Amino acid sequence: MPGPQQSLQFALLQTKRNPNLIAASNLGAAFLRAEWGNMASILNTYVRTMDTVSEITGKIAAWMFFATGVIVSFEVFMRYVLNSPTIWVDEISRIFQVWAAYLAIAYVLKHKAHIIIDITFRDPNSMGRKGADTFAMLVIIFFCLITVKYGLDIWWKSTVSGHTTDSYLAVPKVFIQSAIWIGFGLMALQSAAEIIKIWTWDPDDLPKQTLVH
Amino acid sequence: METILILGSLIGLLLLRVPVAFAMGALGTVLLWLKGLPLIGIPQRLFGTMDSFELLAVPLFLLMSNVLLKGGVGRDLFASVQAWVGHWPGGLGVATIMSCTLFSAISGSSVATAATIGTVAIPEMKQRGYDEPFILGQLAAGGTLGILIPPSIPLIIYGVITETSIPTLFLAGIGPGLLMASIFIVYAMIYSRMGAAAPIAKANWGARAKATFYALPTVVLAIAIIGSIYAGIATPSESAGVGFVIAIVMTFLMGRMNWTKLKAAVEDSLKTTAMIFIIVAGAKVFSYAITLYLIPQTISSYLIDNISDPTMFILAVGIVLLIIGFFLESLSMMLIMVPVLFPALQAMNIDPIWFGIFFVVLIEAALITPPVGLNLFVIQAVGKARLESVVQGAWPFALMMLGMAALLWFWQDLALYIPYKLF
Repeated sequence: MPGPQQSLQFALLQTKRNPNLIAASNLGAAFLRAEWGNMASILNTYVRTMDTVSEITGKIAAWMFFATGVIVSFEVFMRYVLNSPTIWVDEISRIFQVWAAYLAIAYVLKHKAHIIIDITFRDPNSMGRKGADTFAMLVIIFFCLITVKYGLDIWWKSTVSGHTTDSYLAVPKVFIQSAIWIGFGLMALQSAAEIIKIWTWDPDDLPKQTLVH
Repeated sequence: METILILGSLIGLLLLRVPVAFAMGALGTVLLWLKGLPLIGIPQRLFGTMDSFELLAVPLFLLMSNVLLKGGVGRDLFASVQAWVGHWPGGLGVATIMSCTLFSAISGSSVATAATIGTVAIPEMKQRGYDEPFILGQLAAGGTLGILIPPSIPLIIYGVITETSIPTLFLAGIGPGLLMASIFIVYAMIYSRMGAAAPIAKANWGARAKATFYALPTVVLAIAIIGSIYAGIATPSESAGVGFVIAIVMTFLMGRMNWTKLKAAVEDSLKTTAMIFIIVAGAKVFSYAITLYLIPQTISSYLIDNISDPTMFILAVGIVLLIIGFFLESLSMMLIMVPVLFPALQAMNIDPIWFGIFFVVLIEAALITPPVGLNLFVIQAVGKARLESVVQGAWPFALMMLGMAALLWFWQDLALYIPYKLF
């Protein structure tokens, strides 16, 4: 019977030679067999990294909305007071909005502020609750991965053919359309971190559902 | 059959605690995939939803009201109104509703209104011996004025998804909003006549002037926002942006704002904004899919074939929304139901602006009816009370709201006079 380290090495070797699903699943199995302490610290690092990333992107998004408020007022000022409306505020504020909205979704998940119908599985310590919450995260990951895949397709096409917006500013679409796959990609990664939290954290340490709106 | 299966799956996902936005998005994705339709439509729709200048009014109004909130405006408004009407019968109750009404004119959210005024009014009313369920119910209900009196986030979203004019919707909300506030005030006065609490001493003119001085900038700001939208000087998004910058300057000048508070206001606004936006985006994917399955059309033609009288139609819609409102959060209710019902409205010759207001009144009732009523939860948290007390105090208000919805049908000018006939 090989030890956990050997089987991990074996699986890694196999993945290199034959990067298919079986090899990957062997790798997964080896990971599971590897010492729990090792594993837990990897998971912990992953959770901490994702939490930090989502926190940072959330802050960026928050101040993008702040900046949008300022430039929209600037436009009104230019139009009425200086009588020279700008040509860039409308488009830039929409670009900011797309970016900020999708950069923030992972942050909102981390803070448990997405709206859920909180009438079933209310006991945070029950298995049913953990199961339901894990299922919910898997549904999110499914949706995010589909979005990332097709979002990347569109983005790649625009990038290769050098598309720009059909406005005076002619902003390259590379910069705008990447918001979708980056935002939903982060969301998928954060959801995976949430699954780890569900199963490894004390339910009392998880943030409570936030009441916003 | 298909329709029932799809709605059943959506309910199933929601009961399994999938966030509303992602339940709609994922179900929409599966539906598209089952029909072999190109999934590239999903990122396109997600992108298109946010690429909208109208929608920008949501974060900007939220930023404005959060800045004012952190600047202690709730306390100012309550103190000022209390100085004027505190000595009336049920004076503090009246002051609470009036403060909610004033705060509604700078806030588009019912929860923010309930929480802001509740934090100030609940301790004050308790101290004066008001009946606990009455206090809590009044604040839960008073908070809902936030989404009827402009600006209103649900009305912005309604305008965006139905492509109706947001300024017109805002103006249509004023009449019903003020009438509803008046009804609540009369109720507070009658309730306290029956012996709820003794009136407080009349404030002198000096105290009134001082209290009003602090509340005045907020009131002027509220009037300027509605005025500029009404006069066509600025779009809702623009007036929200200007209002936000003015709110920052104003609170800094009053010495009520600092960096920590501003940061908190900006971050709080983001949470609410992103939460609302992702639901709108998820709903967009879902409604794209169900439209390709002809579900809104099927439901509409079923309704039109079976109910020919518009009054019966509105009654049926009202009952359905009331039932859904028991379980579904308000914005989700709007985003799921409006695309389904909208085609039937046109066939029934019902004004979409009027319907938007009617819908919001029903959302208000949904916000204060258990088991899922966001305002009940907020007031429970703010008032540190039992949910039962809040519900006990809130149900008379829910009945008043339903009465209001009925009144709106028979007297449509209540909503439509200001946008269409005034001037």
